[in-house]
Amino acid sequence: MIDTACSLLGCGIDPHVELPQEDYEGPPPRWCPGCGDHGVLAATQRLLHDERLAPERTVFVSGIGCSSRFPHHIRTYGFHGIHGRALPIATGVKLMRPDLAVFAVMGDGDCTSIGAGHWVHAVRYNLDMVALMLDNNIYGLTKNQTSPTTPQGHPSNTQPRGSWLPALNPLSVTLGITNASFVAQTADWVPGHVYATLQAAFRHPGFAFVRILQRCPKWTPGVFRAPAQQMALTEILVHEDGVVEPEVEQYYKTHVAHDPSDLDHARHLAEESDKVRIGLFYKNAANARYEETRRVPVHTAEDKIRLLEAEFDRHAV
Amino acid sequence: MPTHVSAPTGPAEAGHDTGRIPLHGLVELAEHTLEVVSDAGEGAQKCGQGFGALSARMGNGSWTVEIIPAEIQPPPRTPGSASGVRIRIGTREVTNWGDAAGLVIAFNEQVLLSRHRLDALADDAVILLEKRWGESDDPAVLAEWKAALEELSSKPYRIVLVPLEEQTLTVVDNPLHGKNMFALGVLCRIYDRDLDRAREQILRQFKKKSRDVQQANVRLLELGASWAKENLDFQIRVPPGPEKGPMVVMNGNEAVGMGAIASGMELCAMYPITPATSVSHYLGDVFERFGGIVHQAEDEIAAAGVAVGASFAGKVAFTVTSGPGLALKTEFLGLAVMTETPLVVVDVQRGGPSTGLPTKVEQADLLAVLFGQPGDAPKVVLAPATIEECFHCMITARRLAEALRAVVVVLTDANLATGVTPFPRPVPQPDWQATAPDGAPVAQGGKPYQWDPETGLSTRFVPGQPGGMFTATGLCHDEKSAVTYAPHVHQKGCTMRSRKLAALQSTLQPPDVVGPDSGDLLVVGWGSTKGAIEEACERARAEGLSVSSTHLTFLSPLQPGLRAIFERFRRVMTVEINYSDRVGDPFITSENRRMGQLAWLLRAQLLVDVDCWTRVMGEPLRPGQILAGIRAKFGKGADS
Amino acid sequence: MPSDDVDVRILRRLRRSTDRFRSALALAAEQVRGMLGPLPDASEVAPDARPLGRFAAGRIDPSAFARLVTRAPRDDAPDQDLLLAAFHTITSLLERGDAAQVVRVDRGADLRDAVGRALTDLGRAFAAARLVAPSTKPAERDPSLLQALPFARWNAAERELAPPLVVHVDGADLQADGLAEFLDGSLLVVLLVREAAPPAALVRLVTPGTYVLQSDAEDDLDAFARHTGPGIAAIVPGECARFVHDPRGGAGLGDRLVLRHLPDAPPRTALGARSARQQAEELLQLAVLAQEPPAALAAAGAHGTSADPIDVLASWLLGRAGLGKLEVDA
Ligand SMILES: Cc1ncc(C[n+]2csc(CCOP(=O)(O)OP(=O)(O)O)c2C)c(N)n1
Ligand code: SF4
Ligand SMILES: [Mg+2]
Repeated sequence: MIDTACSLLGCGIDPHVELPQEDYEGPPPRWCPGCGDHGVLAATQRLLHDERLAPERTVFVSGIGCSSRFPHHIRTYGFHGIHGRALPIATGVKLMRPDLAVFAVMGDGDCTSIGAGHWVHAVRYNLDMVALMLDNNIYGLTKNQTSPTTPQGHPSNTQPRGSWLPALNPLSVTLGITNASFVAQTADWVPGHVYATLQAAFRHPGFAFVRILQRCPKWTPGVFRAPAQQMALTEILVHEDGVVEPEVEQYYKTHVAHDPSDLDHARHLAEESDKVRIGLFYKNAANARYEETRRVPVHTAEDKIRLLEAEFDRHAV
Repeated sequence: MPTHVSAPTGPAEAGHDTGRIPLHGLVELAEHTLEVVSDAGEGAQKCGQGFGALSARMGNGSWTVEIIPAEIQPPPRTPGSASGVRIRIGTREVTNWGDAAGLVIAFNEQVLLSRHRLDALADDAVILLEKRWGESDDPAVLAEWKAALEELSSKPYRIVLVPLEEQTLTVVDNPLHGKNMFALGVLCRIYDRDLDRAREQILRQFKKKSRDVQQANVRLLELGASWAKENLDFQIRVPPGPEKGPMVVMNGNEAVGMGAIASGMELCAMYPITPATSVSHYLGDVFERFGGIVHQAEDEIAAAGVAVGASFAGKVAFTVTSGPGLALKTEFLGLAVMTETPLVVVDVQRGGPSTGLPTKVEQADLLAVLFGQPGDAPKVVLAPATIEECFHCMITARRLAEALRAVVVVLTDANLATGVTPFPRPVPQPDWQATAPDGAPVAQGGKPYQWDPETGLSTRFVPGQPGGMFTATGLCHDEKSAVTYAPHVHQKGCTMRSRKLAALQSTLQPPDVVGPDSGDLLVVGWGSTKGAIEEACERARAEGLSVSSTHLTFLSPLQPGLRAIFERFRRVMTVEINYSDRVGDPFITSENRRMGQLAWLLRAQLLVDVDCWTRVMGEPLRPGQILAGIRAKFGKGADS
Repeated sequence: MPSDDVDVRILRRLRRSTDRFRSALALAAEQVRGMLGPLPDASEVAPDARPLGRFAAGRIDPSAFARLVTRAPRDDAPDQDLLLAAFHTITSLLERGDAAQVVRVDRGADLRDAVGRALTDLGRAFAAARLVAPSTKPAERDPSLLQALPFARWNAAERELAPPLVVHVDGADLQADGLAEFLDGSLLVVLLVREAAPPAALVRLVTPGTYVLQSDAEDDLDAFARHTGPGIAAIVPGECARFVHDPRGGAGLGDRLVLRHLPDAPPRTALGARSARQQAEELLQLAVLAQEPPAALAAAGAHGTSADPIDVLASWLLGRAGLGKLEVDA
């Protein structure tokens, strides 16, 4: 993912580091026991270690929510922003510093409600980064309000007689956005799959959107209970270009063969079904990346002054 | 009413209303205002801007401002379609758009009517009016013509009919593209402009067009000049001032864009909004050549977010907007303040609230900028007063943002954004520019908010610096950026962020007072009104009134020494383009009166009984209007 | 050394790599400028006041402001002289522009040495950066590196930033195999070959990750310029073989190597240090790599290694003329 040395001054430094995994761990999280965020955090820390990412060249950006506490627990640079706006901040970081590895971590409210506009456009910009949406189908931090992904009929504090609307399908939405580059779904109760998905997302050159079905024992203990308990209810998309995790494929026997370059089939698979489908829905590494298309040569101050003088000439009296 | 003078005179005389122009003979004036108005699309703007530029090249002070129709494609021959330029030229530097125009070229009587209704024309203005509408075969047009002339006859205007289209058609087939150059020729003759320079300028202007087009435009210019020579018996001379050294001419938004470049900033994130957008038009054209990019975000929130993210990761970035966009950026500005992420925000103010007056000037975002964030969000606020300062303040803004890890808001407005004036060519310095973060490791134990207990300042850690890893957060945090709600931590954080402003203020100098150091009335202004205020005060002093003025460029922190200055005057009054109640209006008392925004601020900060005189007419203040306001404070004459 | 039109033209095609290199240099220069702080200059404005700009004049007391915001430098920061030397090394290389990337090999001179010298010279930018890089320990700051940093001592990241070179060389001096040691990182070398040249000199440089192009058309450089690894291209006279080896073509050599043109006759005379036989060997090697094993070659091989490659080549070219089908599309 990091293909450019940021500066000559950093040339002597090996961009890959050999650090124990603990070195990626920040202060311990205070999510509820059993919260799915714990597992995702552990998988992410393992990824950073395995991919030998230099902590100082890695940035985790988040919005606001339980899930958005993520950056505080990882020892890289982080920006815990404001509700719904992780993606614009991450966009700014990556545009300014294409040499940094950038991750954006969002909740379902963050991404699909208040930040929905940014979600659409971030997919379209297609900057090289990983976007994690920790989807617990509820507003966790603010204590149990309906989110766009809350199942219809599921009661919350704001809609005590059940959510009025059918749940938004984030996969279908993302797959419908022009320039979609990488769309995957995984589930916190299949840790090996979470890891393999994050790895595929990280290695993908482009905007990698990963929806992580995340259990919230506090407010939505029921929504993922069945698939988390009965393996047969979790379907694995398999393909050599997809998320490949042999162990998971061994335990989870319901497989769907799916070529991630097949967008139509991906859209079909993304439709609601009685099973939870995890795996790589779509991948297209050919789309231009915004930080590349917008990249411009760097100039020295003297150079700019020369050019500026030419601008003044154009405006000279 | 001052009359025309035979030679340019000293400062006391300059800046008067336009002199009465005799229709015979040559008159010399120290300054003069004219307008060119047409239907949208007929090119009056090009003609007027060309005339302004030509005058600047010939050594005159000049200020041009666009007359913008309210719609993109307004129906032709309606007052709403008036499009054009007002040009004020002078022997001295011209700092504002003046009062009423002494001469106007109008391409039809309807657009002329709109200027009349807006009181844009001097009572005795000379009007050069396209004559063909009065000879129209269309009875409806004739009726409109008659009605318009009837309405115009309420003032002693002197109307001269000009065969604009008829003459133009002798050179080109489509008068839509040509009348303006004929008109420019007419103006060149009247104002004794150098035709060679005008030709040169046309060729440059039409550089990308075919030779035929270039030649046709030059011929039209010549035709206009010779027609005027034969048919008009008057000429106006506004002699050039002393040699001024190299000058450049541009509008305030271009100046902001160039200033941003000169400051070394490399990322402008924005969302289109009038009147700020043209900064991004300019930068969109040239910025990449300088290693910069304009990111048009999906909305203003995202634009602010991208700028904050970019600044967090490297050189200071900036965002450009106007009122409604500023409102949307609010939460991000708070985040930038809280995380001490440097950021430059340019707010090109327009009339508000809400969508308000999209193309028109107002200075009504000051308090929103200062206090628009929930919680305490101290930031630096600068207000350039001239187009030249629009350029230079960007360098200061960038530097302050970086050095103080602060949000710096630059408040310009539609008047500066669209006004065009020459100013001394800047001599850019390498030191103006941001340098790149060097990725140096952070020393053991370094903290991302290691506030200097005295100044509140701390060193920023930028991604890439080994050992500096921290998570910036909008939540209450301690020096390590660890989130905590412990009572003293918030108190400390707020103190440190606020202290930075006081520390900055300790390095500021008091503003200058223009005019005597003490007296009866001190007029206090900020932003684009400087030229008009100083001109008005100068005229008031010429009338024997004891008036001085001072102009504030730092609005947060305020420049020091203000109370001492104010105490030397019997009364202090702000002059601003924002709303204030007028005492005497129904229900309005001195106790419930809502004040102009700077007045609010000064009263709150300094405990001085600052009065205010404000107007929200959607146009720049006219010096004469301010003068009337000043006279009224002295009990002399009625306020406008 | 002023560059010719052709240099400008070719470097324009290779802009991406040049930009990458110059951007890295410019960025480094700006970083070093940041470490240096305002330098004394001819202007009358005090150094403290300059970064604040003219808007601050009369409004901000520059020395008070400087006292407020200036931090003590890091203990292990390079000293001012070192910083200045590094700054000037980098900016002077930048100022040389295209000229620094154009190499003219004198008639009879050594191609490898000439290219090596140019790279050694460009390497001074890397040396300058290393000299002041925060990660360099004070004891390791060796200013003598500013004089020269040969390619052999460039590290992997530096080799990735290598700028493209345009090299003018006589066909007789085209000892291309000497350039193998430079084909690493992202270095792209374009040889502009003057006069008669060995027909397939570049074939010795074909390795799986290296883009190798022999062509008579500058347009082919566009695809070459898009390659992200090392590459070498020669714009050769029309009689030479034309082929392209593009690592992106696939896993098999046959997928990567496309033979576009073979000369009609084998080389008969020596060129510079290259005998006719050596030239013929190269041409045969090309044929073999392109998986067009000439029957005659196979036959020659069957009879031992003693057959003169020129004869083998001649009879093969002859046989081939009848078939006359070369792949022409790239
Ligand atoms: C502008 C704004 N609106 C509302 C909130 C309150 N708020 C904080 S988090 C949140 C929702 C969190 O839900 P989600 O994004 O799904 O994250 P989770 O806590 O479930 O991980 C809300 C509404 C806020 N902080 N800012
Ligand atoms: S409320 Fe839900 S999402 Fe939040 S920490 Fe607890 S379990 Fe996790
Ligand atoms: Mg949630």
